Formats: sequence, C-alpha cells, structure tokens
Amino acid sequence: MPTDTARSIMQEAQRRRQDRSPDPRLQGMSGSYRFDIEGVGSWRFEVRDGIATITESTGQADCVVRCDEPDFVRIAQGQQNLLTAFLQGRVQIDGDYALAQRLYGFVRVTRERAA
Amino acid sequence: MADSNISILEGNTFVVSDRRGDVDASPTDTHGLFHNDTRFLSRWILTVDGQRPNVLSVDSLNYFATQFFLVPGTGTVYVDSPLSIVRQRAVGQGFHEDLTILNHTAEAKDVDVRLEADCDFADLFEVKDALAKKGERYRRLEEHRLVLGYRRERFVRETWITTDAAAAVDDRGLGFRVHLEPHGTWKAGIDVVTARTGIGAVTTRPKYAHGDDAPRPNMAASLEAWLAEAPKLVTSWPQLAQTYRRSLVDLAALRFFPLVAPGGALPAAGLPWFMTVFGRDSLFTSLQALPFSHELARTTLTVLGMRQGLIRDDFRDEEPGRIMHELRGGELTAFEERPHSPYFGTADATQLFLILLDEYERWTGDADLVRSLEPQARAALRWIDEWGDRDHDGYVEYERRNTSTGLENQCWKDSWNSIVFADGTLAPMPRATCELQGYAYDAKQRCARLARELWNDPAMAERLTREAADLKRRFNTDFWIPERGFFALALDGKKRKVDSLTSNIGHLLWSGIVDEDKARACVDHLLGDGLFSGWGIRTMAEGEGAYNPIGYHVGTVWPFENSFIAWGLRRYGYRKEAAQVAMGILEAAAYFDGRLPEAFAGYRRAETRFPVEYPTACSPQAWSTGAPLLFLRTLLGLEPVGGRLLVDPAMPKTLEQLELLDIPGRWGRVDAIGRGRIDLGV
Repeated sequence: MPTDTARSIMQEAQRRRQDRSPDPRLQGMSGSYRFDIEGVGSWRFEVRDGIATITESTGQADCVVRCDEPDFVRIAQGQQNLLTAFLQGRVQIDGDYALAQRLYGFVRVTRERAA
Repeated sequence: MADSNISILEGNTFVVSDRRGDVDASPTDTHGLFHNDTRFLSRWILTVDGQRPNVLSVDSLNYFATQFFLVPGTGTVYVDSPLSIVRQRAVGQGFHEDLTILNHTAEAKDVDVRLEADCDFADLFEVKDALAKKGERYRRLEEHRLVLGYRRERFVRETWITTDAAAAVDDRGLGFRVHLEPHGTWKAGIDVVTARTGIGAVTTRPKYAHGDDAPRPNMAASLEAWLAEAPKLVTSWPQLAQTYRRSLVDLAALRFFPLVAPGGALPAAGLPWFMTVFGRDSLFTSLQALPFSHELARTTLTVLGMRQGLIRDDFRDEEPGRIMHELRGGELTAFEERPHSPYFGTADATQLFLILLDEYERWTGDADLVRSLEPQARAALRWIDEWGDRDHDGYVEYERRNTSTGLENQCWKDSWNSIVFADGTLAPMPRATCELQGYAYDAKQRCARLARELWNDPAMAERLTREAADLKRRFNTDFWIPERGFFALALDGKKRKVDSLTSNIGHLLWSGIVDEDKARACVDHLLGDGLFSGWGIRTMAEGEGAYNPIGYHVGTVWPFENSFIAWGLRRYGYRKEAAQVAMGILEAAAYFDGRLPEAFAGYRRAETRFPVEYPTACSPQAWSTGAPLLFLRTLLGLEPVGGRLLVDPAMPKTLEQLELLDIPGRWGRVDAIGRGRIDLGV
C-alpha cells in the first residue's frame, strides 16, 4: 500500500466531499481555514455546517494551520491529536483560535466517520 | 492564619514565593513562576553580601502585584539596619521586579547583590507527583540576557531574564556591585519573561514595565470596571462587607481569558493547582455569581459548549455530548502522558451545563445564546441517557475507561476514599452517586422549559417532563434508606445502597428531586449534630465509619457545597435552616479575612471556637470565592420569575438590614432590601 501524502489526502478529501451528508455534531461549524504544508503546498477549506469546500490556494483564511507533511499525514490519519500536536510545537496556528478549536472537532469527527 | 507563601496571579500566570519574595522550589514547596501549567522559574533568590535578607513585611497591593520589605541581617534579633531592601513585583507575561536598596546612614556603602536564577520547566503534574523530566534543559547567555530553556523534540519553552541596571550576567543569575552614597538609593528593574510558551509569537517583555509603582492600565482598569459593575452591598456587619469585596476581587483575579472566546472571561478553579478551565468548578462558580456577573456564565457556557465531547475516546474518557472536566497545556498533556487535552472524566458537568444554561437565561433573557447552544444542549441530554447511564438502569453512573491516568471518582468528591459505606468500606464501581441523579432531574426539568419557550419543541418538553417525573419517582424509592431516614450516598456496582450519611443529600434539595414527605428528615440530618459542625455542614457525618474531621471529602466543611445546600433549603421552604447555614459559613469567613478556603476541618465549633483550615487547601478557590455571593442571594431570596426579580428575604435578626443595590438582569437593575427577622437562637 503506497504511503499517503498530504496531496493525496487533500485530493481524497475533495473527492469525498461530494457524497458527505452533514453531521449534527458539526452543526454551526463555519469558517475558512488554510493549511500550509511545508514544502508541499497550501489548501483552503471553506466550511459551512461542517461541510468543507477544498481548493488548493494560498488565499486569505480566518485560521491558518502550518505544519510539515509527516505531521499533517499523522493528524489526518488520526495517529496524532491536533491539539497535542499544537502543544508539542508541531503545528502552528494563526488567527481565530475559536475556529482552531472547531477544527479539532472537525478532524476527529471526520476521521471517525471515515473509519 | 498567615500564609507562609505569597501568590500573585493574572489569568493562568502566577508567582508563588516565600515572604522574602524568593522562589525556591522543592518537592514539597510549590514555589515558582507558572504559566499555562508549566513552571518558568523554579529558583529566584536574592542575597546581599552573600546573605538572604530578613522580612520586615509584605504588602499585597492587589492580586497581580505585591511588594516585599526586607533588611539585611544574619540573626533573629533585630538591630537597626543601615539598609532597607524593597522588592516590588507585578505578574503578567512573566513578571517585572523593581529592586530598590536604601542607605539610611551618613556613610557610603558598597554591597554585592545577587539574584540566583534557575528553572526546571516542570509540568504542574510533575510538581505534584515529583516526576523526572524527559527533555533537555539548557541555558545560554545572550547580550545582557540570561536564557533558561527546555527542549523535548519540538516542545520548547524559554524564560528570558534581563535587567536595566549595570550587572554581571552569568548562567546562574545576575550580580550587581552596588555603590550607595550616604542616604542614597539604588534601583534596578528586572524582567523575567515567559518568552517561548508554545502559543503565539515570542514574548520579549513582561506586561509591566520598569518603574511601575502602581497597577498598570488594563488589568487595573478591568478590575475597577468589574467592581463598578457589581451590585453594591450595604450592611452594618463590617466582616460581611469585607467578605463581599474579597469575593469580588478574588473572582476577578481568578478570571481566565480563553483564547477560544476573545473578550470573555470564565472562572479558573483555584490557585495554585487549578488555574485552568474546569467544567464542574467553572459551572458551579458561574451559578453562584449569576446575580452579580453574567459574563462568567456566558463565557463558561460558550467555551464548554465548544469543547463538548464529540466521539468516544477512552484515553480522554470522552463521549459524545459529555462536557469536559479539565484542560491543561503542559508537557505531559502535550505528549499524551496525561489525558487533559481536554479530559472528560466528570459525571456531573454535563447536567450542570444544562442547569446553568437555563439559569443564565432566567437571569439575563439572553435567548440568542440559549438558541445557539441548542445542539450542544440536545447532545448533553442524549449523553445523560445514552452514555451517562452506562448500564441502562435509569441512573447516571461512572467508571473510568482510562484506567491508568483517568479519574476514579468522577463526582465532585473526587478523592479515592470518598464513596464509602457506613462501615468505611469502599463502594465498588460503577458508582451512581445520588447528587448526579438530582442534577439529571433538574437538568431535564429546566430543559423542558427551554424546549417549550425557546427551542419551539413542545414534544421534547413533554418528553423531558415525563422522564424527569419518572426519575424522581424511581429515585425516591431506590435511594431512600427507610431505617436511617435519608438518601443513600450512591448505588454501587452491585446496586447496593451506599449507606453513609453525607452532605450529598443537601444537593438533592437544591435539585428538587426529593419528595416533599422526605424533605423534613433530610433537613433534620443536615442540621443535626452529625453533619452540622456549627460552622457548616460536613461532607460526612460524625459517627460514620470513614469520618475524619480533616479527611478531604469525609468530614471537612466545604463552603461552596454549603452555599448550594442553603439554596436547596430555601427551595423546600426551610428559611431558618438556610439562614443558619449561611451565617455559619459567613461567620467563618471573618476568620480568613473574608477569603474562604477550599475547605476547613469538621471539628465542632463549640470545641475549637475558630474554623481550622484544611492543610493543603487551595486559596483562593473559585467556588469558595463564589459561596458568599450565593449566600447573599439565598438570604435575600432572589429568584428571577418571568421578566422580574422576586425578593423574599429570610435573614437572621443579627444581620439587621441588608441592601443589595443595582442587581443586573433582564429587568435592568433593581435593588433588594431585607430586614433580619429570624431568631437563630444562638
């Protein structure tokens, strides 16, 4: 099985978005995020009630998350908790911390649904 | 009741020192500069000519600044000192210290002054449990700056120390060769900065600058605004006025400004161990403070709703809909050696969240917040039925899933030996303590109102009302111990009644789950010799197998708990008894200069004559700080009904007249005035 990359995870997330129904646990979660993956690229998430529209973009966002590719992959695959990654210094967050907190929930719920 | 340690704090940054101002951490001494659950300075010792000065006095200017008056000396017999030393310190992003030395003689003096500095960068959990570090400490000298640091992988924390005076900076601290002219003065400003905290950019300066001899703008202004916004208390009892002001100031000091709710404040639990968000503590304190401040409740509801459990995660004892217990930001949490990111092991915060939501709306009329939190409220209600009731017997019970670092006892009495039978034996898990059922009953009753009036869901309202009534009916049978005339502390894992007589029955009155025909018996127990010490209601009654007057949850008196029990006594119409409990604790507060500790010993008042502080009690502690506020509400009989505030005082004659002016609420601001008419007979 090939190792996932940040790009492949983003592409998969873009594809899955088509068949995703809203999760009540993410009701009211709305805002814009940008993931800057070091040496790979930037993706912008426009989230409405927990459903994200994802584009590869360096556009402005309310909350910006920066990390390297291995950490991103581990977070996306549920091997690393986003909040503890932040506390460890593996992830930098700029902008709206309330949105960052909601992102923490978004990642966990999305991961659980994908499992 | 002098404290040998001096604490100043701002948010989740605080300094604990001795009365000289020195920080000298040891396994038994919790000294240090702490920020976000990490110690950023563990050693900060002043010497003058190689000697540690003696203390003349300490003046705590306010909660974030203090000053220490010292003299050089080698012995215990005081002789007129040629020098005075003053350390003025203000905390915020580290701390700033102004060091001043005055020469009182007509001769010039030369002295060597030194400040020794070091840091272990201990996580608060490591301080409590004396654990070893896994990363690497380092220190380096930069231009005029001593850097103390710690690194574990990419977890980096640094403290920066600088001075504006001529100094020899070495890797162990700062040295000053001081020349004092006759009657001269020497000054140095020293910055100790929590520079790399893991959150945000590097901080280069502490909040307070050199030369500050008074509180600086924003905290001082916000404190003044806080006090100005609070209702005014008029009383002929000076100690009550002192306690009221102390409570307001301490509550201001314990405000925690979470990054996830900009501009809002919620109460952190207490100094020194609990300067963080705690579900239960923040909820109880917000309830106590509602007649005086709405901000704490609003932020508490917002933040706890935002951090509500979403998935099942056994490491964190997280479950969908569960309200969190505790959030930490130190190294052990970061590396998942502790589960506090956040930890969810509490069986009562979810119900209390719902109770506060309703009570908040009744006071404020803030329907927008209550509507915005409807999804969280529904999830919390589902948690009560689907996750809180683990074995589907109709009661909330708890047993940790994280068996290594999770909490065993997930009720407010969270020490290991608190849930015991009358013979002193521990009750096996899972435990359904009685107050959890009371809170669940109250939460459903209150949410039925919200569903009917704000969520436009009459069917839900009807269902919740029906479920609450069913719970009350079953509870009054299943938990009642007819031969002893009170409710069991809990049902244990084998559904046996845990038959100790405890204060928990008072919580049941507050929640309203007690049948009217059983209330009198409960009240008689609460005010009887077994539970009532004369100062307050003990956590466990004298005569029970595990009773210990200095046992943390098995005999001590907790002011916060008494404040809710008094509220419960009023709910059932026991006006005199409520006043008796309120007066006992308020009279005790006078012995603590108005600052109620977390707990005090359960010794009989008639024997000790003064309340004996529990040895390791936290102080200030948020819900103890909130207790006098709730007692005032209870004494004045303040109840929001519809859009109005009802005032129905039930006060002892000794209070004469009590006025609480400008009480904020959905009615604007109103005054409550009561006259003491009850003869307590003491």
